[in-house]
Amino acid sequence: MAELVRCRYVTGVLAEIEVEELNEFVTPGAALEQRLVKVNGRLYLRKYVSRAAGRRNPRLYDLLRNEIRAGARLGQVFPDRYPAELPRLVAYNIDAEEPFALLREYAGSPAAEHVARFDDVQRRRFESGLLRALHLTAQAGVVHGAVSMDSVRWDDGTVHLVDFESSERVGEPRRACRSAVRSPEQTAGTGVVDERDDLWGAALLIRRLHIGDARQERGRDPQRLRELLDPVFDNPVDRRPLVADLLGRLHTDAHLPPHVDPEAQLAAGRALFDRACARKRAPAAPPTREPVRSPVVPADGHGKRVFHYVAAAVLLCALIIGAVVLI
Amino acid sequence: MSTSRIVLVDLRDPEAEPPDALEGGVVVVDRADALLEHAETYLALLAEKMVTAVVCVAVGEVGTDNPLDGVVLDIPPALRHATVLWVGDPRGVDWAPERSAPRRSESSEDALDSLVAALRVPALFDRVVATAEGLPSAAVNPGVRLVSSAADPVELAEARAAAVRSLCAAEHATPHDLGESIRRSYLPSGRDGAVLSGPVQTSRTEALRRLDHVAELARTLGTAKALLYSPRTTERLGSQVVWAGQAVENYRRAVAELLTRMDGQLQVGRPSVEDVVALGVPRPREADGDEIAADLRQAVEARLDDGAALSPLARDLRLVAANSGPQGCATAVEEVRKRGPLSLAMPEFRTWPLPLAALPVVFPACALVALLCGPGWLGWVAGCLLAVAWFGSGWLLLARRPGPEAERGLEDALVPSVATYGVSGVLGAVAGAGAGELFAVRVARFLVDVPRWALPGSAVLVAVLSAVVVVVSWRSAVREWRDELGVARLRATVGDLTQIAEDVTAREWLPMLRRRVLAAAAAEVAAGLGEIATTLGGSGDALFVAPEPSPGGQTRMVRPVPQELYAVVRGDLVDVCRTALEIAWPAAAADVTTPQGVYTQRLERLLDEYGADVRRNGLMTATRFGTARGPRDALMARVWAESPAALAALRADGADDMTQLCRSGQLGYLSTGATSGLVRVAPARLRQVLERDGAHAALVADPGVAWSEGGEFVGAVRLLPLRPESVRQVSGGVR
Repeated sequence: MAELVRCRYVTGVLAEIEVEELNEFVTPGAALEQRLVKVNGRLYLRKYVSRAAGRRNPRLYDLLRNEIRAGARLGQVFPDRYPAELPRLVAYNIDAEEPFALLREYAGSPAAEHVARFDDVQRRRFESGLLRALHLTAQAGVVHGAVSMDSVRWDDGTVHLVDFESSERVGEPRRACRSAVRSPEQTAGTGVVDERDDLWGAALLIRRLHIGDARQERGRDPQRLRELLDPVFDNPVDRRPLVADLLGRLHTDAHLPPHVDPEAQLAAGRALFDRACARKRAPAAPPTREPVRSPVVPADGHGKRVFHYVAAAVLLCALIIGAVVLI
Repeated sequence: MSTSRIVLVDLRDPEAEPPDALEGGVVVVDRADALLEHAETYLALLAEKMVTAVVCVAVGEVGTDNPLDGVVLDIPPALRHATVLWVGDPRGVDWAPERSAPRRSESSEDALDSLVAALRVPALFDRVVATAEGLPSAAVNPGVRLVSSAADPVELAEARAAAVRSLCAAEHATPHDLGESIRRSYLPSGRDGAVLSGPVQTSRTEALRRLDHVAELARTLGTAKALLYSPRTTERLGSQVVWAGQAVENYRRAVAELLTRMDGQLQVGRPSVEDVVALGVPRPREADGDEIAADLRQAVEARLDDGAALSPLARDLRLVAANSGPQGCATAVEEVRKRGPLSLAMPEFRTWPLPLAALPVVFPACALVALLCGPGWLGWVAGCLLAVAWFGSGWLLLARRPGPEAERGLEDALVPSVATYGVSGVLGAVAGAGAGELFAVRVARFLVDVPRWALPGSAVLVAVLSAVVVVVSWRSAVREWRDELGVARLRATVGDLTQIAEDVTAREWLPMLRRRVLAAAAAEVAAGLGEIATTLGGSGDALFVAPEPSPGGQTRMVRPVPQELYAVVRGDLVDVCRTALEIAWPAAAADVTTPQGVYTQRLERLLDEYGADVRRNGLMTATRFGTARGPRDALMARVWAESPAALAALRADGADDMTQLCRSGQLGYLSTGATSGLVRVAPARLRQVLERDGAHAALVADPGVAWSEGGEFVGAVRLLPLRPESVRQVSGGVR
């Protein structure tokens, strides 16, 4: 059944699209309700908070907001060649009664179905792909916040990091959230979000990928794994290696697709705004010895203001007269 | 010829499935009043070439027109060559001929079912056929005293559940590092064969050659060759030092490049092996997949024999795979990178090889020599000569002072030498000679008592001392410079770099293929074991399902599952899993990954086969999977020890109490006066247990006992012939 919905594209443009609901879609890392939908003959994933679910658990609205913020940011940073490793937000509506996010259909299937039968080459491809996805999110200043087997999909050699419902933005204060895959800093909710926060979960996932059981003490880990992951586990976040460093150790290409810095694009406007604010807040200029001259108001500006007053008065009178006549 | 297979045909149930194949012995259960009706079937059975003997169990009594004629059985001609067992009543009566009156059977089980089940034991079947043939009657009535050693279905189900739990336990019962022993076999501990060659070795040789050359030059610098010869090897010492440092740095870069390429190949397969070998490492050693798989199999089966659970074993193997696979050498690369850039610093040579502190010595020495040799021309000449000698020495040493690239040179050293040593020496000589001229009389008076040889001797001594000062100054300057020259440190660095490269070559590069094959094999077996453990945990419950207790049935006494029964079932399940894992070994040897689900399908099929085998032949006889004798022998010993009735049944003779398969009213049809037949049977496994115990030697040696290869029955079957008038031979097949 097709439905006409209003939404906003990642670019900010408002639009009205026709959405055809298909079926429910489940991913292990998502707490939000998801449905597979068709728009213009193409498949999309609609994450939403239904009225009933929202009443039961208002926290779902926050999760959707996180997903939209992360998706919008990634879309702004990678506007042209969007990386295949990340989910692509297309449109959203956070103000609707049942707010939603519309994402491109996920590729592949949950990684947990595959990893048990991975060979060595696939395992290494998986870890490289995962770190590359984190490299991309770090570039955009987004932290996934729940990197685990549940949030990773595998599509014939390509890793997809999905379900950014716990995501945060680099530089913001950390949200405390207890989860086995979050770093001690993330669990405690102290300090500000760092792009290396996700490395903890990724390192746990890579360990699980290689040795199967992440509960085993790290002393028995293979040498390669220890060399790769010990700097992550043994250091506080500010001394952890960068994702690019780990990619370098894995001989993986760490180049980034063409990307833009949305902050830089807005910098000029912000600077102008800041200057205007500063001028407004600046203390009154000290009296000068020169005789104070009355401000010169441009004749046309004064005229416009008078015109507005007159027009408002006429309109008010018309409304009063109209109301009296009608009553 | 003994029968190896017994087939059961039940003609009482017209809808029963016919047997798959008729061969060996056939037990036909039929109604007594249907024998004539089934005459053609018996004819067909006996005509089968593969059927060795037929035992017809005729149940019930034939109805005749005259109830007083005493006929209970009509036998068609087709059954003349078969053994006919007449069963008047399936439950039977307990009775000892000529000893006790018949009484109701105490057994809760149907005696007919026990008889038919026992007849499926080939040894008993053969004995019954042979014994019945020797009796003077066309049909015999069996009496049974059988004790079954079959496991209780409830206990069997509990043993299965415990065995499945044990095999699928998540944790280690006994920690064991499986990988350690396997890795020890395949991964070398030394550096055998890790010899570098090619460009890396060339750059190492060059670095060492240049370092040796610099060391030799440093040694030469302290000798006259470095001062007086021309051309001199030390002329461009500074450049040689720099080049030696550069050669060591080149070697470091070569090692770093080699290790980086190795790491790339080990971790992501890029660059190619050829590109790595081109830098001067040997080719990786070949790996024998069959040998690795065989050794891995031995280790895994030893762990299974030791009672390891499947899941922890799979986890161990995953760890073996992770640890055995190529680990790369990122740390070594990092270490080599950290050591760079390397260089051999040219220590600064003393600015004044003949120190300026010697100038106060030059002046008095020249003055003293001029004074001692004067007055007159001799004093002037001697003083000036010493001054020139001081100047020349200082000039030469200053000119030979090694700079950052080359010596300073005579030209550059001339002016400073003149200004220092020259001026000082000339002033000394002039002062000494002048003083000799001015104070000649006083000096002569002062020296009047001095021996004549003392004055020239003193002058020579002063000159010699001056020469000693020059030589010692140069040598101390050279030694000081040499001490600061870091040749030994760089040579040690070259050694360290070589060791790092050789270590990585030996540990990672040479066994790379072995590591890959071993890791792939361990991963394959781990995946198989994991899948098998998961499947067993899920599907294992379908095996040996305990019968539902009937609402009004007798309440079973709860008791722990005997350890021996648990051991048998667990051993069998381990063998089933081992068989399911069989396909992993060729796959591991060939580095092939078995698709997901194959092990599951295989295990489920094997579990079905095992369950069917146990249902058909009993646990004791179902040895297709449980090949080890020990657990079943132990179970048999336990059953025997707990069942005194079994010993009594085995010792029974023809006159003892048995359950005669007829009603008490039918006993009159039996010919008690005639010779009865007695067949005693027990499993051969029991005989072995008894032999080992040594407690029942007479029983073991008793030739009357048929020791059956299979079967779970211990006891005796008594065959009493029917009176001749009770059996009516019917010709033509129709009454």
